[in-house]
Amino acid sequence: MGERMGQPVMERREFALFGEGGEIRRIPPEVSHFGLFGLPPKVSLDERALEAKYYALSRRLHPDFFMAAPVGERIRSLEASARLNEAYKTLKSPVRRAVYLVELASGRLAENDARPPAGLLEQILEAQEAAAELRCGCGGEEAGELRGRIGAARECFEALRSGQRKALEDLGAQWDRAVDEGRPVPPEALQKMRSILSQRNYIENILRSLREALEAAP
Amino acid sequence: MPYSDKVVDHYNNPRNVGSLDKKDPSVGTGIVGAPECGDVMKLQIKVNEEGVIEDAKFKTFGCGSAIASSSLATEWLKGKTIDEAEQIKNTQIVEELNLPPVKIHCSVLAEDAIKTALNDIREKKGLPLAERKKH
Repeated sequence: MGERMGQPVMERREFALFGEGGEIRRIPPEVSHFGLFGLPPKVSLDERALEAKYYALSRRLHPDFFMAAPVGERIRSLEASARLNEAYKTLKSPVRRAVYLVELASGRLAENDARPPAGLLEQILEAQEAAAELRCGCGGEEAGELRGRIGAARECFEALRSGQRKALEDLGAQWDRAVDEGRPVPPEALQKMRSILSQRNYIENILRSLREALEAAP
Repeated sequence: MPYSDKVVDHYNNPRNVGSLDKKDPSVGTGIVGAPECGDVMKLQIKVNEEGVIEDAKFKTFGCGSAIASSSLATEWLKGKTIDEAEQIKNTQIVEELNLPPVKIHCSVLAEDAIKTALNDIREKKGLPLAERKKH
């Protein structure tokens, strides 16, 4: 990811969705979800301000106002509504918001070198296999032993998850401090957030599998 | 319809599910994951003295397209040399399985698993490593 790391270029000003004559302006691609709502690009956010702004803008974009409008304006109102909904959905959820910020600063999580530590995927595979074995009852291992092994794996992944949540909170606070002080986000903090966020789905998935296996199996 | 017939077929009758001994010097292993959906894929190949892939196995925990992509990959790998296997592209998997755009990353994951397994066996056999493509 190289040169893009640590120097998130983020527009701070609010994008004016409506022109002076009340017409809808096309939203350029470089306007971030934060810019759309006039919010600072931070990990923590004023949820009430977000909601208020979202409702205010949505009301003005309501299709009823554009029934008699020229086709171009009608299309722009639909496009703006779609973008607004997407932005709101992303910013409202703390996890999606963090992922969005990190991707804004350093590229998509799926791309670049967001590889999890070598051992993690192996551990997950092993636990998934144990879960599958318990569900089908087809392994050689005695069920009680298997359940014990799955329970231990579950505790281990839960501990990992809570450690990462705590780390993410600390990193988010670092991020917000940097934004407040007008500094670039420290590259190490960005890198760590990237790494934690890109492991998140693996850990959620395995925990769900383990829980389901333990609940479903007799 | 979300899945093509071929995806459904591979999903219902996955080929070559299983594991090979990771420590065997003739076995190459690739374990990869997709951070956006949390799918995890393991693909293993057994390569004989002539450099031909004799056997391929996979285990995938993920969606139907990820399972189908890795199942298809193991079918294609068998009988190929290491260099021939290196030529398998995710776009061929997309085409064969008729994957929709939202599932293209599953084929990327399968290609990634192939490349990782091939590099693992190259390393074990003391062969030069192939350059890893960045997606």
